[in-house]
Amino acid sequence: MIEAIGITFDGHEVHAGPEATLLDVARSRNVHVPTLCHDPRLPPEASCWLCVVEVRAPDGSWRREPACDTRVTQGMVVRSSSPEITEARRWAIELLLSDHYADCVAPCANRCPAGVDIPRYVKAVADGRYNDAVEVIRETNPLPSVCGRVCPHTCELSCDRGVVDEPIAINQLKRIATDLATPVTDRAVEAEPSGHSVAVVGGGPAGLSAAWFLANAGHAVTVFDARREPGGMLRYGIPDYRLPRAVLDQDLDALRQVGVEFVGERRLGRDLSVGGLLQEGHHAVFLALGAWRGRSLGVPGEDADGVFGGVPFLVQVAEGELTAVTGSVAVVGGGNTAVDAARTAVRLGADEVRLLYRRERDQMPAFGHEVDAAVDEGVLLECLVSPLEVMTKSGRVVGTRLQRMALGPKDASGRPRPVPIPGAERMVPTDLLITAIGEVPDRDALADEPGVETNRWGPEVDDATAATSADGVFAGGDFVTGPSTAIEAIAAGRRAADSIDAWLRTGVAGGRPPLVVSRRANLAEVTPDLFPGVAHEARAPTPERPAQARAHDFEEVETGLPEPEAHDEAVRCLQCGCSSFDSCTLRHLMDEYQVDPARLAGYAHRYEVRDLRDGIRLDMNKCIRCNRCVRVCDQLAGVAAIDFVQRGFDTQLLFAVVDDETLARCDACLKRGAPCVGTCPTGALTLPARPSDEPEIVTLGGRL
Amino acid sequence: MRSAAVGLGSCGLAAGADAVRAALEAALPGLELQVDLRTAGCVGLCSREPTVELTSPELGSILYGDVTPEQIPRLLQEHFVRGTPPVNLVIRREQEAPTFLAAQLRLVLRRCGRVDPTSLADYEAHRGYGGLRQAFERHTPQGFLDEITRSGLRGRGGGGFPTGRKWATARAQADPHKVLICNADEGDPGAFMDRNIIEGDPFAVIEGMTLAAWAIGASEGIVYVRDEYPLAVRRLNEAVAQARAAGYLGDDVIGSGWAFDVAIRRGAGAFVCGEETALIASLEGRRGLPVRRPPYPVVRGLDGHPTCINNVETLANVAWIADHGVDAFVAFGTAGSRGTKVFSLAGDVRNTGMVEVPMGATLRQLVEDIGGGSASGRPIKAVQIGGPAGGCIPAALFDVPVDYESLGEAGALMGSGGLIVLDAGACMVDIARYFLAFTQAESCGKCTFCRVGTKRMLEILERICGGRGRPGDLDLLERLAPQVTAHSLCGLGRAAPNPVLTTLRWFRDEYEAHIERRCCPAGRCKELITFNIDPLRCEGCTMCADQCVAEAIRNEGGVIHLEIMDDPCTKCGGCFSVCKFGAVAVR
Repeated sequence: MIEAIGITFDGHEVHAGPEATLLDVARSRNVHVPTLCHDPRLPPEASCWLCVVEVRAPDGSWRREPACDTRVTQGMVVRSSSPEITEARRWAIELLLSDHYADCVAPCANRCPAGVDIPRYVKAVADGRYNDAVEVIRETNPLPSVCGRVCPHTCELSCDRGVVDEPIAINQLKRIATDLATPVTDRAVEAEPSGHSVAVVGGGPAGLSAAWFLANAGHAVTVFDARREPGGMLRYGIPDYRLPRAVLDQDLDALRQVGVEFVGERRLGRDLSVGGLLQEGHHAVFLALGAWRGRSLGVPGEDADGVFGGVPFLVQVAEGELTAVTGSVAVVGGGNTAVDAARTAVRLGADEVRLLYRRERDQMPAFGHEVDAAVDEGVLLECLVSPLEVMTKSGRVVGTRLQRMALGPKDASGRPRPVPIPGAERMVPTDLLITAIGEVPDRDALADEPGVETNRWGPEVDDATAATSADGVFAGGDFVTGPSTAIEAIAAGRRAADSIDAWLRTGVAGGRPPLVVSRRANLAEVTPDLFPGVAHEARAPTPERPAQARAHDFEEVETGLPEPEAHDEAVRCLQCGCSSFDSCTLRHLMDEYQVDPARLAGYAHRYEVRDLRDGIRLDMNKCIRCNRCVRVCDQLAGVAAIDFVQRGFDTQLLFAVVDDETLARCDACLKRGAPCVGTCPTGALTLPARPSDEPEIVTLGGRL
Repeated sequence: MRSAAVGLGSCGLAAGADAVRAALEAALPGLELQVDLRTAGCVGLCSREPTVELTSPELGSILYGDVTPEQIPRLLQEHFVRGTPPVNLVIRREQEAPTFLAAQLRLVLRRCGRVDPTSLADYEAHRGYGGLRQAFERHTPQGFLDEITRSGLRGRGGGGFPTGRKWATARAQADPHKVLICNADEGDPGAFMDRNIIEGDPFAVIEGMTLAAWAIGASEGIVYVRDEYPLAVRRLNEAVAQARAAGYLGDDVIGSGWAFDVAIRRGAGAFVCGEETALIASLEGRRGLPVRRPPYPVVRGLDGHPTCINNVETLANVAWIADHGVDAFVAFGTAGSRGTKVFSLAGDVRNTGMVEVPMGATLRQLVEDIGGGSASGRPIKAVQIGGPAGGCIPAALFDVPVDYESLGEAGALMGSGGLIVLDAGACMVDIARYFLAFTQAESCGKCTFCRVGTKRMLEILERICGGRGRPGDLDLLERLAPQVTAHSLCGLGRAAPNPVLTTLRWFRDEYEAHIERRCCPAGRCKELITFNIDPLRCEGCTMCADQCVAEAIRNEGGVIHLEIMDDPCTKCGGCFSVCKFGAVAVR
């Protein structure tokens, strides 16, 4: 009979066999003690130090010991969690990550505000599986069709293919997927109905995104909008030639299928109140009113007839209330609203359209390709001018007096401040003046909501939870941040939905913490030498109608990639990210402990990925020197084909076979499933995918 | 009885002692006097090598230092024939010893430099193996073990673990096959105590091993010696062969019926292999990586057998205790630290070399009396004691007695015996960087915190020395250091942060000056200093310009120098060293 040893583990009296380690005890009690270097089939290594627990010393202090290699002794007092233990584990993980030159997820997906799993849908496009591609996008972004048109695709700036030649045309691939996918008509919510109801105020991208994720979580969702149709700026602010209504409706259809109700022409402060919504039976309210209020120029004559704000002008056109303009149009501003207004004015028949901006072209906040397109369509871009006065005749605008500007020192935004050149003025004839110098949230909508505290812009919210000061009332999107992109609003809507869902279910608001990942860019520049064997191939150009043809109608400017080109483009994708994303223990731990992967960044090794031998790929960048593969190969498989060489910080794994006999053993073992690969706690050792293999399905869970 | 003995340790050989010996061989026949030519180890005064000790009835023994082969004929003539020793070469007369030797207490080193390390007969003539014979006559193995326990002897390799307790544990193991290992994998930079003992008195180590093995019941003895000590390896091999031939080793040790033999195994140079468990892994043919203790090697060691590992100096002490008795031993040292400690005294003092002092001697005695004080005239500001695992102790604490407890309280440790004296010209950040760079490079790479943590700590020190320190760096060092200490399997990782922590503790202002003022107060860190010439002091001698290989100083004979051009200047400090007028200033 084995004598049992009594110890105190986390306050419980526990008995264990004399050979038991503290890790054995923890596991037998289902206490999660992490480890990277321990393989239960092997003797303890005690090198990663993730499994530290605390053992009480005779003097009463707590001593940290590796649980995997500390055997129980009679009367031992052990605890498996404390701030010091957590701290020690965080250090260990951060130290490992400081020499872990590897990307858990592709840099493009990392960059995407909504965390869309780009490589996975690009792979689906390459395979012609367009429905799969769209559903991948929809996991974290319910407006794939919209984003296929209007997303600024900053993802492409981070594309590693761009290090080799040119970035993948990611957004064009998203667009073709949504264009060619067969619309799903029988979408259903998998979650059980929660019995909760949420009122979403504002049908723009933030509200739509929150509605989608709340509905899919089982909640009843009603979206209220001040205008007739949902979509917000997507419908009323972005002209048809960039985003056709039918495309928006395609995405809205998916929301309707999961049960989202839309109620139009209900404006907060006029037709709705937060209190009223809660009284009507909604359990939570999400305020996503956007940023629609135009800023005034602050010059004389601004209230004359013929002077429009940028957004009201675009809304009137979208509503069909304004179908033609004549004469000279002047648009003041440098953002996307200004450029949209100018290009819309061209299409409505203006004789000449001037875009007036007070800095240089490079500093315009509008997307560069939109500015180029506007100029191509005949918009006269005039930089370094600022309106001084709106000239009027009989109360109607006839001209704009402009001050010439020069660039001075940088201001708080980091851009050079425009300063007037004294005496340098000019006049431009103006029949229609459109002012689009920026929008702000309409804080007045909350004037009758004393429970919702506001700051100088809009509602005051908790960054982590999107909660306002009123219980059950949340806010997000442009209404909180000021004007931003659709994809940022979509991301904000999802974060808010997570938080609202938690609040409804537990009474405590709070979303999932951000996904912590390792990134090469944290440690050292990503350079072309990391991609040996990738041949240069040009990026597919974006097809668009010629300027002369498109400038007179509201048909789409960009026509989308033809399918063969899209396929070739998708195949260019390097499928970055780690194939061991789901199985990697290190990644799970960095996420669990919410470490800062860049905190201890210093010199990091940059190894070329190579085949350790045929059939086993070694990415030394991901190796944490746990020695598991070497020990398994030697002690478990009896092969002894691999070992470490060099020492210390520069320790490397080597295929050390010198004789045929060992090679034969290694071959046979490889056929039995390569236990060296199986024991690797990271993605350092992998079996390279055969062409026929399905790509590993990676779900980021929308937490990027 | 006349003799001439040349110090032929590694230090002597490096200084040219073999040529001196050849000159003696050539010159002695022409002297018409009977003079025995003998080989000796190092007497400890390494800074004065080559040394020759001439003994004659008329003058007694006189040690001569800095001897060149050309001086030999005149030296022999004046010493043996005319009886007028050349004063400029004399280091010591036995009657009027300078403090370097007088302040020492040489137990372990008593024979070093005096006995011929290649001769068992000479060893026996210097009381060699007297201890073994006495022990065999007077004690049982257990009785001798008890004597060592009573002596309070503690391990001299750095840990300070009571030797008697270690032996008792080994002896108590049921396994009849026990192993005794002499750890001669000395690796601390600048430390050479073990090498000197082996080179100067190898039989004492073998005798100590035999006594230890007898006490614990071991039949197998191994000396694990680093291969970078070729002379020590040779001396050991010679000594083992002679001892075996004379019956001191073998199947029947001096007729006792007890069998014990010693094998010499060479280490390939990994510093961590001085750690017990890594040493065993290395002996077993595996990568020299430590494993977690317990089980301790005395319970389960080499090939699973109980294995007692003692350091060279410890074993030499055992031989002394066996010879002179426990009562004589406990008369030296302090209550917690009995006996003596050998140090490699180095750095900015006049006398450097191998010294031995009673435990409890103060650092001031080591620095001032034995070391002879500052070599440069600049004030001494600290000692670095204990090697890369040790720490720095400021001059204000020089009255701290050298014993295990007191050094620990000051943040340093006894270590194996490295002792580097630092004057005002030493930058304490740079010192910390130097020692951490050593440990970082010697990390075996097994534990996360040692492998990566020491690298990150070193990077922080490098950027501080390079003038790129950041405001949070000291905080980061102070938070990372205890993590490395707490989460490393062996002493290398656990002690690696010590040089950083002790310098931060006593010399934090120097760190802050580097970071906040981009200034190295000691004028040491190249990126942070400039050399300037004070025209009021410059005499136009052009020495500095001659010295400057970077041609940063214009050489215009007789003209007062005005500047050192910043661009070509490599900050080598050559101009500063050669200027006789103090006209070159470091800022």
